[in-house]
Amino acid sequence: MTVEGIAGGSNGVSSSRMLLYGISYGATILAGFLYIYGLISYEISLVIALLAGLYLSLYRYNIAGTRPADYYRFEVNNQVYLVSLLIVVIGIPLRVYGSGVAYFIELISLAYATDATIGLIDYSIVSLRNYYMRRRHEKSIWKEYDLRPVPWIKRIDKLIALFATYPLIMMTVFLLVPVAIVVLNAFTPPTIGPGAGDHLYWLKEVFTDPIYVRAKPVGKFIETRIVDGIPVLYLGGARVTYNHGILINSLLVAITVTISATLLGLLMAFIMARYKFPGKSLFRILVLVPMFIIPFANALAVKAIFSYDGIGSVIMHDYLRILPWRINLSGLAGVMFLQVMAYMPIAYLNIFSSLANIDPNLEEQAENLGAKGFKLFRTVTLPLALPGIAAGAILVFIFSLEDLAGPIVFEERNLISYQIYDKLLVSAGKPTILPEISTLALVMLMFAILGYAIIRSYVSLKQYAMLSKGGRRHPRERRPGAVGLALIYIVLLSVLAFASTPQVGTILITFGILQPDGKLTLSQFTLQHIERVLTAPDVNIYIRNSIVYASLALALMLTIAIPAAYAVSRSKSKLMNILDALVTLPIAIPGLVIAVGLFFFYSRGIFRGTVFDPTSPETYNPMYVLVLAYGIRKIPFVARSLFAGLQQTHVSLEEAAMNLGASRSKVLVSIVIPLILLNILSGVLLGFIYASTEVSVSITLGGMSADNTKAPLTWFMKQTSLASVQASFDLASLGFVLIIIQLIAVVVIVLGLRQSYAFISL
Amino acid sequence: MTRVRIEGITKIYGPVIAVDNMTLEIEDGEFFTFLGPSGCGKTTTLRLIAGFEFSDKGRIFFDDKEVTFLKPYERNTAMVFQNYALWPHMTVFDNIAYGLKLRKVPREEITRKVKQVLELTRLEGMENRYPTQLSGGQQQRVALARALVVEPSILLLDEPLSNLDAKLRVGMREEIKRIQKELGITTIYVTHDQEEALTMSDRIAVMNKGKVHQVGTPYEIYARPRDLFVATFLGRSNLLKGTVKSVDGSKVEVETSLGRITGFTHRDYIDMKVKEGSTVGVIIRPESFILEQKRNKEYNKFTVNIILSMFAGNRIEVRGVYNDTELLIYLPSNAEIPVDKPLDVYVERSEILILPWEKGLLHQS
Repeated sequence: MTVEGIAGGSNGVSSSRMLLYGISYGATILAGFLYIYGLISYEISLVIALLAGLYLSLYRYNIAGTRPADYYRFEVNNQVYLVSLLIVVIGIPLRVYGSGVAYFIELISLAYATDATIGLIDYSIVSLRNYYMRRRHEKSIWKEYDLRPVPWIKRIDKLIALFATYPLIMMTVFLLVPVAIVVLNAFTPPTIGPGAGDHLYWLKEVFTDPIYVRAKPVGKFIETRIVDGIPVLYLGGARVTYNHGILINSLLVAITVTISATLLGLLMAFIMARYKFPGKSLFRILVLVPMFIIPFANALAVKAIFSYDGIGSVIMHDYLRILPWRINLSGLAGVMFLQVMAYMPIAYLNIFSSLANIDPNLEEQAENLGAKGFKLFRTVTLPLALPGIAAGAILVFIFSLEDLAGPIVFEERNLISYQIYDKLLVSAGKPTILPEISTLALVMLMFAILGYAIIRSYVSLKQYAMLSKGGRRHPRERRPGAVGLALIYIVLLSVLAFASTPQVGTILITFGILQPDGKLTLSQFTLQHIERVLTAPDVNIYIRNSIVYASLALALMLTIAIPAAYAVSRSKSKLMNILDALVTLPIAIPGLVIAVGLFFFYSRGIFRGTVFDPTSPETYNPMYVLVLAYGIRKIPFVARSLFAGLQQTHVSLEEAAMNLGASRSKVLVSIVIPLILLNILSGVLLGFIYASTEVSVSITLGGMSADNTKAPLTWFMKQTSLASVQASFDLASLGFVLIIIQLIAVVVIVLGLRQSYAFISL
Repeated sequence: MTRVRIEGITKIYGPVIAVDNMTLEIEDGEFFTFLGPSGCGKTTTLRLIAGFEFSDKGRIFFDDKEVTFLKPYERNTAMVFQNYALWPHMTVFDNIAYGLKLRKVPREEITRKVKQVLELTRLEGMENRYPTQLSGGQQQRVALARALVVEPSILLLDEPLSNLDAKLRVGMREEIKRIQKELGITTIYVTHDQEEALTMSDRIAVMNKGKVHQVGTPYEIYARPRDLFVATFLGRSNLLKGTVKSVDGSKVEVETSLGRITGFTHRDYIDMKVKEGSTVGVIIRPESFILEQKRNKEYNKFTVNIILSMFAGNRIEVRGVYNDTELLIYLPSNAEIPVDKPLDVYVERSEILILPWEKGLLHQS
């Protein structure tokens, strides 16, 4: 029940506690060995692991005085529990390896999960009892005072009620229902063939078929070969592209990208937040460059620059001689490199803002107590910046999972995202849709939510409240010495050069200086490509489409986000937590899952055969579906911006107006909206950028009409990325147009509205 | 001109009773103060009157009209907030005119009324400034002007002076009092500052843990506290625990660690909570001690050992010990106090208050 149990366990009886763990997990490992040598059956080894977990849980209380509930509450990291449960439940991907290690992991997970489950059950009992006792206490007060609840109709604020209901309905209908359809559809059994009637057939397929999970990978990830006398480092496979099965590939990419992007982002953010050096304001502007979103064009540029005779390889090997070989990116490696470049800024922004918000006093206090250098960083700075780091990592992980531009341009079919995309396009116009798509979408959703849960629960367990926020006003900046300064410039320049490759490459290709095959042709400078995309009617129609769709979506977003943000920030009702979660949920749901959900949603029931129905190409007009999809998907970014503004606006400003005789709606118009106008404007600009560069829904549902001229810009960019050399110039030039649009937005937000551009945060 | 009647109001947040069965009446034109430590429910009471919260039980009347469930904008109260709550996007003029515009007052009338209230609050010439360009005291007066200009039936003030520095606070105290008297408006004031409450109010309600302990004029509250909470919350006092030895009329003799002390109690406690053998608290104000007895009066004599003497301008604050019990004593600043020596001090019997003992009392001295 109390914390003393834990405290007692950690000092007095730690040796007997170690013994307890030794016995339990020792028995589990022994069972693994016994099974491998054929002495006991697999089932018996499972039972031994289960008993070991049971023993651990029940006897810990006797020895260390730790009640299972305390153990669960204080010591079980929820995410580890989740993972171990998942391993036990699924188990299969590891068993495919066929090695003994998998069995050990499974057995130990089972012992651990048993232990944690008992803790969870005990914890639930304790919290239920506490809840019940609190309720009883409250009820006794009500009885003592003879209180009757005031009729809700009298105390409810009608405007707030309306404001909460409308977003709830919209988010439920256009987000939850489509996703629910995907989940349900994944469990549809095949009607004929081997798996007929088996609800789990598709799930089993996805986890066991060697297409999805390969015990031994095909090809080599890193390989050096001599081509024409030049050593070339082939990343992602030389002749055969590296393939570990679709599921493992996706996880491999997502995890590698998350770790690399977060580390690079942390390095950059730490330097920018903590050091003072000449040219810092220039670097502040330069870090914005990799943030420009240019789907498909970025992949084209990276592919060109890091090919066998691409300019990047040639410079680094032949001219600068930093690398002993030229680099050639393909397959998974190409996707990884591209995603690290594209998503590093997201990690950077989140980490930078959390570092900047750390109260300098906290660090000074630690220094005062004797912490220095890395110890200070590890014990104070890093833990305080952890929420920002985790928020960045979650976003990178989810963005990486759902990314399509990389796989499409690098022609890497063996990723979940590509498979969903491909199968969805094949299904278009057909009466029956393979449940396999939904299963893949479900798996992607599971991975995303698992990633979200792992990183999120780790952070929320350690919520650090900082008493004051002095960080922004008096930043703690140090002046580095000469060596430090040189190091800072080298790190910043190389990281920035790396991360800006896609944008720089895109601009170079636009002006004909760089060819789509990676060769530098300074003499061929031209403005004809950019002129073409702006004037040729077969290209600029798509720019116009996207501007129209994004603007309409923006209007929709505002009608949902303003009421939702207002209701959440001004009502104390617990229902608002649900609304808050619903409005931020689209961040955690990969766009492709939404695309699949909407595909099902709009091809059934009342939508069948209407302008909404993507399976009926003749009647289908992508405008309606896309506006709704953009509106719902990108709402978190707008809502966050509004919410931040409302939180800075003290409630008493509204109460003062109501007190003087203004009704809620009058208060909203005359007080609230003028006060958060800047936040609304910056939200509008961000929402517009995000909606007009949306990929997942645009390139799937956006291109399903018989009339291609109604498709959005990103769909057209995808088309050009697959076509001729001339199309590559079109693609790069469209990317350039997007860069210019975003540049204008950034300048307006940062200079005009004086708002932070560090928007992508959880 | 409005009378406020509160009938059995109770407000509960989860397991916390914020306001506990409160019944009281606030007279027309009265300056009424809710005084108590933070978390005692005084601000909640004010918000219930303003309509920002609804009570779980009981009713509130303005004159004879029930307002219990009326929305804030239907009550015609005007509140001055602790943080002033001035709208940063409006000028001083627009801030003040807001309520009038809502009431559809004609434009010339608005200009006239705003000018009038600016004069009243001594803010002439500030019309076109924005709140951020004003000092704390000026912002405070704008907030007051904004509330007054709509001619509310009740003026509500929620710790309006707590954000000002000490000197301004005293000045604003007088200003608010002056304006209130001039307009004769019913005013409800919330504060945790006893000096503010004592100097400004016509009547005070002392609150703790949701309950009203005593309602009375500042003098009654200070000199004749009804219970030990009120006695110890207002001013500084010495509290001694003791047992009643004898009761004679309202005169009570108590056995304490300082020996026998004779004092007086309220009439209605006699033979009820204060009778022979019952545990009581003895309250002695530090300013009640004198160095010499006068004739025709009865005194309690204390012989204390002086351990600390502090000069405080208009008085000397002395700590004296007898029998392990410490007393706080104020003596005239011209007195000569020998430290570490015994000293005889006297307290007139009528200045000593005997009150029923309460468990769990927050001890202050």
